[in-house]
Amino acid sequence: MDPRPCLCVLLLVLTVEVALASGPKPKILVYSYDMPGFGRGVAEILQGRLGEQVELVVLEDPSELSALMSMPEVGCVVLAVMSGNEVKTLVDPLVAYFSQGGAAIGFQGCCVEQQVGRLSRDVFPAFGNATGSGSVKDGVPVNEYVRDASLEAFSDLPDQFDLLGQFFTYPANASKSVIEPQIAEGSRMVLFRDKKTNAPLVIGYETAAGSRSVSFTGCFVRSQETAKNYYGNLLQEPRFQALIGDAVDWAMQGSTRHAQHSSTIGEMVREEKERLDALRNHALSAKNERQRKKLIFLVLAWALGLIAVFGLLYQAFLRRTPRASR
Amino acid sequence: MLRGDPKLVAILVTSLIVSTLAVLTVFRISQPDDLSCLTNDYPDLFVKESAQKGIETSFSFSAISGRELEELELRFSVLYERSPPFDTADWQPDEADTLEDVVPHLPAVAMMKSEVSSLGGEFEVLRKEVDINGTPYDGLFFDFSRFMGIFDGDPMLSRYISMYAILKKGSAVRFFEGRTGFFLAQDDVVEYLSISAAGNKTEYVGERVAEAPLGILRYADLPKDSKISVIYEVLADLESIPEIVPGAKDRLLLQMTKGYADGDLALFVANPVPLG
Repeated sequence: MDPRPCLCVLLLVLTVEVALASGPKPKILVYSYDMPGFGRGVAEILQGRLGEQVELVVLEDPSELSALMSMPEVGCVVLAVMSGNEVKTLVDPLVAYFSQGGAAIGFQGCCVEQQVGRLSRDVFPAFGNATGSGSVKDGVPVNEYVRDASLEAFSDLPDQFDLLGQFFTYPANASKSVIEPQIAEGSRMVLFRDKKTNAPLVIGYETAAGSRSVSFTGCFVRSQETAKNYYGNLLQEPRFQALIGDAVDWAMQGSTRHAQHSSTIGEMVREEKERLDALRNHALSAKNERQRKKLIFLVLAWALGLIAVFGLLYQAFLRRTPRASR
Repeated sequence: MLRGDPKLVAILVTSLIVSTLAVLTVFRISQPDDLSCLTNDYPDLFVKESAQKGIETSFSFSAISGRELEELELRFSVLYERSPPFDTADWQPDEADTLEDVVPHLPAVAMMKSEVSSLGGEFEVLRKEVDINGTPYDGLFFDFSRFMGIFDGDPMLSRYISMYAILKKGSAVRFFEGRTGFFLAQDDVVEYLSISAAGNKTEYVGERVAEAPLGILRYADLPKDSKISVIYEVLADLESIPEIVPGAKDRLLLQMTKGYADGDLALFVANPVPLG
């Protein structure tokens, strides 16, 4: 007998079992409100880099992001936003998601303190309160990136390079000089700085809770195709593609939320179902017991009533009859 | 013998009928509801900076258990109105469309339904009529919060959108989305909260509000006739709750309270609060 069909079936069963045990694929949520095309472009880059290992979901509605972000299989949230208005209703959910060991990538809209408050401190610690301008090279606005802290995940990038981008936001003192903010917890690493001002352009952040984020304080692009800093041009740049891919890779590898949930999703859902079923079954059996007792009581009351009424009527009519005939 | 004595037969039959009627009328005590609402008060209007405008924004709710309960759960939530985010900008429902016909055109709801189902979870769908300024709207309520709460717990749950409501009257559709909690951004806007259960009262004022439960109350082994009451006051400044745009006077908040007796929904109130 040819053993190959049996082996194929066995292999298929094992593959399915392994897939179920390892949980669903991580989802990467890419959100953009004002420039949906930029969000879609970033998602395409990530899909090309990460392939079938992940599921990319592009969102343009902040409410959809707020709901979906809580799901256990979310591996990373990418906020392709240039303005704080695009994330103003998302501050609370993003802080909550991140505090639970989430992974997040934020562009300039997430980094301006005046617009997004604690999002720019607790999740993307750029503390941006001042705006700087990049250089213009060959008529094109660029930010000049110079490596600062070294991280293995970003080693495929050169130590110096230019990327399309008009403005950047940075933490400054009263005289607009760059300052280094003190953070309460976690490790904040400036991966790349602006060549001229030394302002942070890429910040990696890691907390003890197992959360990781990467903030892009530059990369300021616009949606108009005629603009020098049109987002389509940034998406074409191999260095940008490498940078965003490295950032998502690094953030996802270190964050704990997806890792914790993915292997236990089925178990946790089952446990909650069993808990509710047990409660309902207990309530049902208690209700049945109450009904049984009530039925016994009714039968007894009825029997007693029957005897009492019979007795009364018997006394009233049957026992009186002989006296009457006498 | 019976055949011989028609009087005895008549007495027996009469006794049977009288006894049965007596038992059915005297002892047929109707079963009380598992949970009954005693009070449900909510403001006529919600405005930011209400104190400066002399408007009180307080909510009051109380309920009583109709039997001994192994677990009683009260879930408070607030939903805010926004334009229905239909999948196609120019799609509008017809008068003949049912609420079920509208749902597939709302990607936010359809997406969550598919997401939760794909993970083997369940969500709650309820139908309820809601009266708004004397106009009855058919309502369909989707609640994903129980599933979402499994993973991150109650405090985190109150940060994410976890429920939707769709109200329809004729061809007009009103769409709401919201979260668990006594109010949106509870930590920032609830000034006072009082929770009484079976005689024990806890008050949260000022900084202590941050220690309060975030809209979900659970009680174990509750005797029959236990009373639970919740009172809270809200004061929101202009910066808080960005979802509520000042001046959107044609919109509403829906403050909802659900009570679960041993895991089963036993009480559901939805209070429409106009925005000022």
